Formats: sequence, C-alpha cells, structure tokens
Amino acid sequence: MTRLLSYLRKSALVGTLCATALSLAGCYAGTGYAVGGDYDDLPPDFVVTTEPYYFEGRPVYWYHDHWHYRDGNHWRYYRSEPAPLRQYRSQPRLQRPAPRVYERPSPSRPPAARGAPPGGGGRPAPSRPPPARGGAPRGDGGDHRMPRR
Amino acid sequence: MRSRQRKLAVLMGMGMWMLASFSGCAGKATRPPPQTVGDTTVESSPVTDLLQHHRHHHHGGVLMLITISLDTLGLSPEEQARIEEIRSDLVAKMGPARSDELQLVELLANGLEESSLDPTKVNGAIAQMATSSEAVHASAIGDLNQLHAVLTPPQRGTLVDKLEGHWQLWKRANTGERRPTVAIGQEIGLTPDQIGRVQNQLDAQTPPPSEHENEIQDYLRDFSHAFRADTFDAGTLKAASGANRHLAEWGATRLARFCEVVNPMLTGEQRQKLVALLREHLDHDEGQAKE
Repeated sequence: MTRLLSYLRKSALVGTLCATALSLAGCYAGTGYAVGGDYDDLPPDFVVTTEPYYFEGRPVYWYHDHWHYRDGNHWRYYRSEPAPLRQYRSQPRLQRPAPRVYERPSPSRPPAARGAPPGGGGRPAPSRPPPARGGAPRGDGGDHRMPRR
Repeated sequence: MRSRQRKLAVLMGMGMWMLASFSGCAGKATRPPPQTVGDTTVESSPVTDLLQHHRHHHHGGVLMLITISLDTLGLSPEEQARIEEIRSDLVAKMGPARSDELQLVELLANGLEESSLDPTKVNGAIAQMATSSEAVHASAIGDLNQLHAVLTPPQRGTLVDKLEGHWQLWKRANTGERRPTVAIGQEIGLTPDQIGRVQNQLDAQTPPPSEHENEIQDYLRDFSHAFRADTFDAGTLKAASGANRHLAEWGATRLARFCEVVNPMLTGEQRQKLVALLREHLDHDEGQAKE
C-alpha cells in the first residue's frame, strides 16, 4: 500500500510538472508576455482600416480590450497588456493626415447629387492625385471601436 | 496512513487546479465579435467606402488590392512618403486597365439610359479590361520588388494581412452579403420582389466561379509566402497575371450581368438612379483626401 501511494504521488508530481510546462509554453507562445487563445481571424473590416503598432518585431492591433497579433495562421492576443503597449496607448496620438476616401457615402445623397454629368454621358474630371501621407504609427489610440475616417 | 492519503489528495488537487488554470491559455478562445458594417446603415464607415470601391472598381485585379493595402501599414512619415511614390507608380501602371473599365461602365450607363444594352459590346469591353488587367503585373514587377525592399519584415507581414483582408471584403462586396444585387438594389430602390427576381435570374445564368476563385486564392497564398521572405522577386510569381485577369473579369462580369438582368425591370426613377450611380463611380477609384 505504501509503495502504491508513493508511486501515485510521484506520478501526480511528474504529471503536474509536465502539464504546467506545456501550458506555460502555450501561454507565452514565443513572446515574453502571457498570451491568450487563438482564433482564425480578426475581422477583415478591422484589419484593413486600422494601422497597427509594431511591438516585439510584429504588428499588433488593439481590439476589444486586448492587443492582438498574428502567429502563423492564427491570431493571438496578450492576456495581460505588456507595459510598453500600455504606455503606448496612454500617450497622446500625434495628429495624422486624413486617410484616403475611395468612394463617397452615396446612400444618403439624392441621385441628382451623385456626380451624374449634366446631359448624361461624358467622363467626369479625373481624380485629384493622392496626397502624401505620414505621421507616427497610429494604432487606434486605445479605442477598440472601428476607427472613423 | 491517513496523513499520507491526505497529502496525496492535496497534491492531486493542486495538480488538477494548475491544469485547469493554464489549460485556457493556449486553447481556443472566444472569437471577438465581428464588426460587420452594412453599406446602408453606417454611411460614413471606412468599410462602406471600401466595399463600394471593391464592388465598382476591378481594374488591375489583385494589384489593386495590394495598392489599397498600402494605406494603413502604420509607417513613419519618412517611410510613408517612400511608399506613396511606389503607390503612385502602381496606380499609373494600372492606368490602361482603368481606362478600359471606364469605357465598360460608360457603356453600361449609356445602355441603361436607353433601355438597351448590347451584350456583344459589353462582353467585348469586359474582355478588353480583363486583358489590360492581365498585363499590369509585368509592368509592376519593379515596383513590387521595390516595395519589398523598402518595407521591414514586420511591415511586409502587415501588408500581407491587409491584402488578405481586402480579398475577404472584395468577396463580400461582389459575391457575398453585399453583392451588387443587394447593395446596388437597395441603393436604387429595388423592391424585395425585384431583388429576388434579379437574384434568381443571376443564379440561373452565372456559372460558379470556383476555378477563378481558387486561382486567385492560390496566387494570394504564393504572394504572401514570397513577400514575407527575406528575398523576393515578383517576376517569379507566374500566377499573378492570370489572377489579376480573373479578378477583374469576375467582378466586372457580375456588375454587367446585374445591369443586363435588372434593365427590363427598372422603373423610370430606378433607372435614373442606377445610371447616376454608375457614373458617380467613374471618378472614384484612386483614393482622395477626405475633405
């Protein structure tokens, strides 16, 4: 009975240590910070309209109260906010030039105001050349909502 | 003996607790809720802007998606200025394809205005635009190589993520929930019955584009893999021209077929709105500063 108990105790210890090691490996996933779970994608709506911040040599996005980053085919997030990212979020954002607008918001506009050239056909004047842009990395200033242009 | 059993129980309990604590770290997490924005509900949304663009402008194919992906890389002013030069070059390289697309849209608008669309002319204009889109990759190889050289590895990864996102948006705007039948139909005031009839006819006549979609998907995968690497030569991406052609042809065909099918069903007011809408988008493809 004593042997059996000793065996069980050792097994439990070894098992616990292994499980802990494996779990921790998953938790840190190659970063110096605890990371959360993975899922297939951040919403493409968010990714294409938001500028990332670069941290630990990769782009990160502040979304739904966490910093997210791509890890292979998956997105992960930091379980707790790394101090440099918290500091970055707390800083005031530099003024950025207005982002590009590709289309005009037509649903609310009357048809007559939608740029139909007088008299029907004909090609409208060409678009203005795109302006130069610049500014510090935008991130989203600590706001997890979709940025508005 | 009891003491040993108690110790064993405590030990095993601790093990279970630690397992339970850490198992959540690397497991599947709850996916953040999607932030889908319907075109007609949030008119100022940047996603609406992009969905409309992806629905109405197809010239250049995948190269157009790459070009738009350059907008939100999160670069320093100096880096962004360099990228803008490359972007301008890419836009210029797509110029011939853009001209062909304008001709197609004018053809559609004029035909709708006169209630008479000529399918032969429309198909010819689509083919012309597809051909010129197929040609853009060869002329843009140098720009793509420069782009790779200017960006750091993390920034390249960002570009690839944006490109994948734009591909998802493109599909939504052309074949998904915001396809022309629904989005344009709502914009020009089609009734639900009209939308249903248009969709039924389109479903009956439009062949499934699975081959095109697969080719585009394969090219996107190849591009993403190659662009993330330390060395890159866009000239080795043999599937690029075909993918650009397929994307341009696919999108333009869907818009044209929608116009052809809806043409005989339109009321006078709906016709006016559709013609105005098509002409409005003639001027919208390169991106402008918000005023």
